[in-house]
Amino acid sequence: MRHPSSPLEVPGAGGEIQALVPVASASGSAARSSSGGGRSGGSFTALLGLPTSQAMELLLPAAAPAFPADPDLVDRAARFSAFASPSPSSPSPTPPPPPSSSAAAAKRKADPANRVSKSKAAKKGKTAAASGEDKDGGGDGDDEKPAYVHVRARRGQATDSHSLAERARREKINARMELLKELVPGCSKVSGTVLVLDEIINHVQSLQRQVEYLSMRLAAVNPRVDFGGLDNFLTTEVTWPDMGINGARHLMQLQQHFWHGDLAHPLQPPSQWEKRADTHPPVFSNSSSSLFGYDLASSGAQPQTGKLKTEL
Amino acid sequence: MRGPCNNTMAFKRGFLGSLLVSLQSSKATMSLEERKRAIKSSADVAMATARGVAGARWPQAILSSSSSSPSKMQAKVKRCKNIVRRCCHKRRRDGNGTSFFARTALNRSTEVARRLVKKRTKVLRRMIPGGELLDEISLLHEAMDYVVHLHAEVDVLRLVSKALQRSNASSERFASTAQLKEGTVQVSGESENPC
Repeated sequence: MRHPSSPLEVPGAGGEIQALVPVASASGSAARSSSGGGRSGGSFTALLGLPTSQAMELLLPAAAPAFPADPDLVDRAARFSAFASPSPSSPSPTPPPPPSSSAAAAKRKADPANRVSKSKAAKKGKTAAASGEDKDGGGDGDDEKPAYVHVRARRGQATDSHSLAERARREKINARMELLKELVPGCSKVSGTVLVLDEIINHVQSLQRQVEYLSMRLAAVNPRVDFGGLDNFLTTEVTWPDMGINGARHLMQLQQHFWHGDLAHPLQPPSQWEKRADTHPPVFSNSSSSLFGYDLASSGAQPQTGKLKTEL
Repeated sequence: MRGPCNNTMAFKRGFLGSLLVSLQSSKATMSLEERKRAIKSSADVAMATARGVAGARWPQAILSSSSSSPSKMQAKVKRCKNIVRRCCHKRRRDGNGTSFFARTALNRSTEVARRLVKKRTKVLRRMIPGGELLDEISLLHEAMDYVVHLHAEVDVLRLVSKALQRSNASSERFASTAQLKEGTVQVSGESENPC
């Protein structure tokens, strides 16, 4: 699957996603505090169901060391350890186990080596009262940071490895969907995988169409402008991040190939361009800088979307 | 939100630089359609190079699909891609056909939902460069990354075209380069603000 290529190497990539994290964890901690009180020791997935800070863990395994710095979880971990030391069976097990198990479960999830295995407690069964003591036992071993993620099976569901793996996979997918929902505007109200995917697809399509339209406008404006003087401007003021010498050379090569047409029509010799240019509809001559260009772009994009719609 | 602002700015600046370089080398002999296509593809390449290859798959997909090669090599490359795609399809079909939940799903609605999700993911795969070979989880990750950078690209393109139109509209004869400089300075100044 995804090789753990270190996300810290590229500040650009990690920065983008980490950017969402402060927003996500703020909302996530709010959700956690509100739901942690009103929960009654439900299932593992309900506890895990929060959130985007979990999603952060999934996306940035390198952030795992920073995980314990989360103040809420530190509080709960402290409470949990204080609770675990005196006696495993205390008079009121229900309020602390949900937050403590969420802390413990969350800590377990923070392991970069995410492998699902059956815990001994999962074999037994599932009510919250019984799980209190089991989680204590499981939680004490938490300090050594086990390499496995112990997944607690829900009540009435099968416990073989297939379903557990499936569930872990679904958790990951749902976590990423949450993040995507925050990226795409207008997606937060929609619930359900299919509709969110629909929104994402529409958004990406609209963005690509905008790029086409804008490049059409640039192409229309282009011939009148002389870009020669920009060289000095670029070299002095604009910095070239992450490029290096090789990158610049690669880019120049690519640009030259574009403008010599290997790219636009890879199999056609350049002599055919003139013919194609002549047979272009006269429509193009009018679209210097008016909105007419937009109509062309949209009509150009429409057959594509039409195809997509019929396929859907 | 200073963190993402700085990174987006770095990407935008790199993208702007590459875009201006590609616009410089444009010829006036091409028709509008070809120029637009070339600008679009050079914008894609500029985005891919400004992003860097680490941390995501789509820049590499864009760069590899755009790197020039003689026709024989291209035919071979296409054949290889078809083979890989077929293998991925087979693996996916085999894996999904015998999945646990497909066997025991009693609920019709979940089947329908799953079919719709599959259709949507197919469409998404086609839209994101290099998405054909990815599995669902990394596909969503790539989509996130791609959307963020598309946002930035659209911003930069819009500002550049606005600046160009302004310089065109005011005076076409003298100091067009000077006005372009002003325009691009404004561009980098304006693009700082929305952050």
